[in-house]
Amino acid sequence: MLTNEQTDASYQQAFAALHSVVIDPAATPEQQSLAREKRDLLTLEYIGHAIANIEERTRQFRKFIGEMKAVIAEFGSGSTIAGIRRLQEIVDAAGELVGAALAPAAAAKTVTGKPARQAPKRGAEKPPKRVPKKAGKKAAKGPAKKLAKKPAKKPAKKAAGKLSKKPARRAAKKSARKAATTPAPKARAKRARPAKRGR
Amino acid sequence: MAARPASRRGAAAACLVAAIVAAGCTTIPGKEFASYKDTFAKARSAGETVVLDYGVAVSQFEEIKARRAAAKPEQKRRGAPFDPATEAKKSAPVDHVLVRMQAWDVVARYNDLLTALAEGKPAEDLAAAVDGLSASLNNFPLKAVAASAADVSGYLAPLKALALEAAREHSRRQFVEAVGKGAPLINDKFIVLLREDAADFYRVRAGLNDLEISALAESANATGVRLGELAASFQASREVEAAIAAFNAEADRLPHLAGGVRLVAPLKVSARGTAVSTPEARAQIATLSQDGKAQLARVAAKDDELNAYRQVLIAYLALLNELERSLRNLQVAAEQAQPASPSTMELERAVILLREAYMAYQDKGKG
Repeated sequence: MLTNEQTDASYQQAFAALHSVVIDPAATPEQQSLAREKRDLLTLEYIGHAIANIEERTRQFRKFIGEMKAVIAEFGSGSTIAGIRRLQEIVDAAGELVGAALAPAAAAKTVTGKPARQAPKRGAEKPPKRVPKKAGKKAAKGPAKKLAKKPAKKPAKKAAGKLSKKPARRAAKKSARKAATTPAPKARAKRARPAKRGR
Repeated sequence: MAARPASRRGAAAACLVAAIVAAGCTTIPGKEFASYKDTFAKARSAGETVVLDYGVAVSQFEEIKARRAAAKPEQKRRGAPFDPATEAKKSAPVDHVLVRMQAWDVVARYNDLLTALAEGKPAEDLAAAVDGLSASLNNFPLKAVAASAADVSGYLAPLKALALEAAREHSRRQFVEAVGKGAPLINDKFIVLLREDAADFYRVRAGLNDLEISALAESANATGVRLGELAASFQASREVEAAIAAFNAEADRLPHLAGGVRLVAPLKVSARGTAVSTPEARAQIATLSQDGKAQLARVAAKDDELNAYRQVLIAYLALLNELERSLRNLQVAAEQAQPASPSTMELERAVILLREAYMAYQDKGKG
């Protein structure tokens, strides 16, 4: 296989030879035309060969780009920073949940003058004791909003439903007794405080 | 009350540790890095110009081929071989110029990464992240959490300073490591590919120039032939001899092809006619002489065009050489920037101070 330098030299020699025929006054017009055609074709092939070399090299450029991207990716990641930011997101989310749970309770306390208690839901077996860890904002806000809107004693009746009033009354009395002894949101808020730990 | 001495101890520990870390830190070869970045910017600008010119050259080549195909349509042939690779290339054409631009761009992004590491931007980001976390803790809706966060932040301060300095040092070491990994790729692959490209870019431009210069040379040659034929039909005269001599002198200034072949053949008027040249003939000879001179000038200009391109490539290759050299200098300087380890005594003192601060913090928690 010819090297690039050998290809260049062969091309130059062939080009010169064909051109000498083209400009030779002794050559016939047919000879000149044929030599011109061959000379131009040779040049086009020579250019095409160079372009093919360049296009073949594109693959190697792509490989190089991939390798450089890998180097950039290796040194461009900030795992520590990402970890701290994730932690901050958790703290912010937890702060929102706690804030949402505390704010309506505080509002209810100021309206009724008494600590609010949780209304049992229709069809629910038990009122939820605490906000689930992974519950969203809405889940935390739902019961709290109801508490803020309704008087403390009434929700039990409403929660009893239409089908059977007796169990509902019993449930209402039970929850009223429970509310009298332990004001739910405040107690929950106290439980949520980590103030005593480690201090 | 116990917090004050503890925080003082904490601050003292932070200062000492920071001083120790700073004493044993890795240094960035700033001068070499600045030189490399400067050379890269110049080489990139030249490289993109050259590759864009190649794109133009390819378009010209395609146009010439299309013109030739239109002028002389080839007879369709039945039973042409089917090559899946060729067909695949046709269906998904690759932008070879764009890939080369992307290669320059990826090195630029690598340089940005090196700059960020040298400037300790990861450490700044870390500081911002720590501050953000502290702010979130301080804003936590439970007073107890916010209060303890405020208490803790006093003790976190020295540790934060230490962590930041450690992050900066880590960043500097990553700079050294990134140079060690990226520089060989750039020098041994990218620059080598660019040099090979430059040789082929020249071939493409030289080929296109050959097509144009040969056509111009043929025109000049035809004018010379007509001038010679006209001169041969009359008696020799001073004017005619001067015109022939001028044409040959211009043609002789043109470069020769391989094997000494001339682009434009010199005029040789061997036999002379007996007729005396008429004013019309003299005017015709003068016109042919002028045309020939202009055509020879165009041939020379076309040759100059290729030479100018050659100079562009020479300057570009010189920049690539400079880029290679500056990157090698940076690599050597980065390899020599080994961190000096702090003395054991100083390290022990720092550890004791930090421990005291931590003990005070624990005591406060118990109280």
